[in-house]
Parts: sequence; structure tokens; C-alpha cells
Amino acid sequence: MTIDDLPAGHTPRQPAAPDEHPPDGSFLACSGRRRLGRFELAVDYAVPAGTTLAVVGPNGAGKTTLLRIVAGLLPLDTGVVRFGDAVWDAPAERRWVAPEHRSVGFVFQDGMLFPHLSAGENVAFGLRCRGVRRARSAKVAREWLGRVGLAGRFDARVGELSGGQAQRVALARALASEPDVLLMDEPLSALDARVRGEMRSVLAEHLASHSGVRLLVTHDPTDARTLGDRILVLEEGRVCQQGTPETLAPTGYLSRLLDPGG
Amino acid sequence: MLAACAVALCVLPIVGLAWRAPWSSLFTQLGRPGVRNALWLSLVCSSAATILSVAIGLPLAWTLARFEFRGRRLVRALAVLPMVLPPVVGGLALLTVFGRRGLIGQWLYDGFGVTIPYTLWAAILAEAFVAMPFFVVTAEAGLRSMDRRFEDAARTLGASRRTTFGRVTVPLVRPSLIAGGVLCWARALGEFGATITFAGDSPHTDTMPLQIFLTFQQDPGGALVLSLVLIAVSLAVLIALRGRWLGAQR
Repeated sequence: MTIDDLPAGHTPRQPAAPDEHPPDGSFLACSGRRRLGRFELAVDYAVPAGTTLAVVGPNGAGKTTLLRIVAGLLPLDTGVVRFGDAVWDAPAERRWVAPEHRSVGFVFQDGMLFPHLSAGENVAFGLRCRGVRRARSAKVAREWLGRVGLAGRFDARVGELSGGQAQRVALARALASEPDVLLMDEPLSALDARVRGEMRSVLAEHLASHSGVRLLVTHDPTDARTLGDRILVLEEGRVCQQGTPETLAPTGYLSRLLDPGG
Repeated sequence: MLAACAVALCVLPIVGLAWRAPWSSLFTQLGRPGVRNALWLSLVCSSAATILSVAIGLPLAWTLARFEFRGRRLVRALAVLPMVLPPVVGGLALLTVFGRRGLIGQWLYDGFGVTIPYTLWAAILAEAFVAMPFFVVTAEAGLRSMDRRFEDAARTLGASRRTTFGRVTVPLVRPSLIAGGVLCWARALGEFGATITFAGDSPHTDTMPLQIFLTFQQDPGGALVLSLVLIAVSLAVLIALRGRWLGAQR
């Protein structure tokens, strides 16, 4: 029996548990554990809407695992993932919302654009899956391509795009269905330095106009500071520090990150 | 040098076939109604066996490639068993299941008056039994080597499991599926042992390999000619498929 055999779809609404967050459906909360072989991720964090949480940490710290849990690509062993008053994953109550029913957008490190579709078809894919008609979804996809500076490239084959262009298409694809939660896994790290600065400002612009929750996984201090409103430091599957860029104490991984020479 | 030996081992028999075949009898052989019937039956049966193999083999390959479950290795071993089983044994095994006194055959016959052995369906079933592993093995390898994050991306974009499979997985592994289908079809086209055991020799089940064997007993020269016809037909189909599907991607 796999997790997908459990009833899919939105779980019935229930009154929000009393806690420090407003019960108005505008925050993402994740607390729980997930074991993968000998590695275990144990996290507890909450991100209000309109905020970008930058997740930093060394390789193998569990940053990608953290994103996959929110997206529903990986179930928790114990704990809860909640967006507002919708419970997405709560193994104790046998609650599970399949990834396609969570309002998330995922930007992968190397784009993961579908190579058998054109750039525009990639952007339209999510809308088509959610039942938007072909003509309408193509129109929206064109608008999104325009917004990431790729107007007129609807019919471009994925193979024809440069790394930076592909990552813009990936961003447009993730944002086109207007997700409540935007998850980005090292969206800039596959790009060379020149394109990277450009893409960072594209990203900053779209993060500012996105009203939901944003999670940005990065190992680059500049990305974390310029794009993140808050920073979460992850080491060996554990949260070491959380806070704003100004309040974080430069210890452990963060000190090496901020001062690689020291 | 050893590589040349390998090529010689593959090519020399075909050269010998072409050299010894009485070419003058080509048209008289092709004119025999039994032969034309056999050619037609071969194409119909091997295509039907391929369709059957893809229809049930693709879900199997997907399950084997995508899920960890107890006994998966055992299931995979069982699924490719016909590859190592002597085809005659396969035919006998099919008889014990679908024969009139067989496990399922008895029930089919008593309940519905349906007899499978020695019919066209038996020929198709026998060919699928022998050829399906070729599709399953190739398709599973293709599914395994695909980057699963493409499927993850589709799921986060709102695609259900089924939609992801149809819109993302199948298009991405299409070359493997076509290669597996072609292998399966070619194996089914040449199937002899299981077919003659389970489907026997009748106008409804005499595929080319059976026809060649039967002809060989009275007219060895004629059998050579028919062999070349079968080779030519299978090569023609493979080349046509290549031009149409594999060529389009270049």
C-alpha cells in the first residue's frame, strides 16, 4: 500500500488549531520528521503569506527534502503540513492531500522543463491539468512568458533555450497557475555568473508580486540575503537558526557561509 | 578477429539461405494459397500479440520500475521466464491452463463453450506469451533510466498520476517503448515452438514459421524461399517503422 492509495483530494475543513498564527489561511506551517535511510529531517517552521523564507545549509542538509515534503512529493513519517486551515499531510490522522491538489508551484534546480513540449506548452501545462481550455491556457501562458521577458518564444523548443531562458520558463510555469506556495530549489545555481544576476532580479520582481508563501532553497549567501525576508539555517536535517538576515547569529554553517575566508 | 567471427556467424547462414534457395520457384511458392494465408496470419497474429503485450506489459513494466514492494524481484523473474523457457514447454504450459481440461480452459469451455487451443486466439496467445518479456524488459529499462523529477514536476503542476503517465512519462520514454514493441513484434513473428504446440497446424493457425517447417518436410527448396520471404517481410516492416517513428525524431 502506498500513500497515494489513501483518499486523495482536499480534506474536509476543520477548525484551525489554536496557536500563534492567524487562522485566516495565510501561512504555511510544517513540523514533523521524515527518515530517508540513515538520514532524518526534523523541522518545525511557519511562513506567513507575503514572505520569502530562504533555506540555507550545506549539501545533504535536507533542503530539497524539506521542499518535497511541502509539495507532497514525499510524505512525513510524523507531524503536520498545513496551509492555513487546510491540512496537507498529517499521518497520525491519516490525512494526505496529493501533490496535484495542493496549491504549489515548484521550480527545480535545472528547470525540468518537459523536453517534448514547447516553452509555451510547458507554461500552459499546469493550467491544462487544472481544466483550463486550450485557447485560454495558451493566452495565459503567453502573458507569463512576456512577464519573464520571453515574449514571442511560445513555440521555442526546450532544447533551443539557454540556461537562463529555461529557468525563466520554469519560473513562469510554476507561477502560471497562481499557487499559494511557491517552492524554489536552487533556482539560480545552475546558471553562470552573468545570467545569474539577471535572473536574480527577475526572481526578486516576481517574488515581490506573488502574494503567497515562498520557500527558496539556496547555498548562496547573496541569494539568501537579497531574496529572503527570513532565513532558516538547516544542518544535518536539523534547524539551527531562524530569523531575519539582520538577527541571525553568525555561528556554525552561517559563519562559514557569510565569511568563507575566515 | 573475434568480432568478425561474430558477424560471420550472424550473416553467413542468411547468405547460405539466399545462395541455395531456388529463386525460380519464388512466384509459384508465393502463389500457393497456403503461403499467402500464412503470411497474412503471421502479420495479424504478431501484431495482435504485440498490442496485447503492450496493453498488459506496460502497466507491469511501470509497476516494476516505479514501486518498491515485497516480491518485486520474484515478479520480474516470473515475467521474463518465457524468455528462458523452451518455447515448446511454453506451449505445453499454455495447454495446461487454457486446454479444455485446463485450469481456466475448463471453466471457459463449460461456462461459455469457448475453446482456445488450436484457434487463431491460441496462436496470438502463444506468441504474446513468448514475446511479451522483450517488451517488458525494454520498457522497464526505459522507465528506470528516465529522470523521475519530470514526473514530480508534472504532479506539482496539478497532473494526477494517470495524467502524468500519459502526458509526461509515455512521451519521454517513447523511444524505449517503440524499441520494445519492435523487439516483441519481431520475436512474435518468428515464434514456432509454442505456437505449434498450443495452436497446432490448421488453416487458422499456420503462421509463416509453421508453414516453413511443414514445407521443409516435402520440399526443402521451397522452405528456403519461404524463409527468405519471411526475412524480407520483417525487414521491410522494421525499416518502414524506423523511417516513420525513429526518423521523425532526428
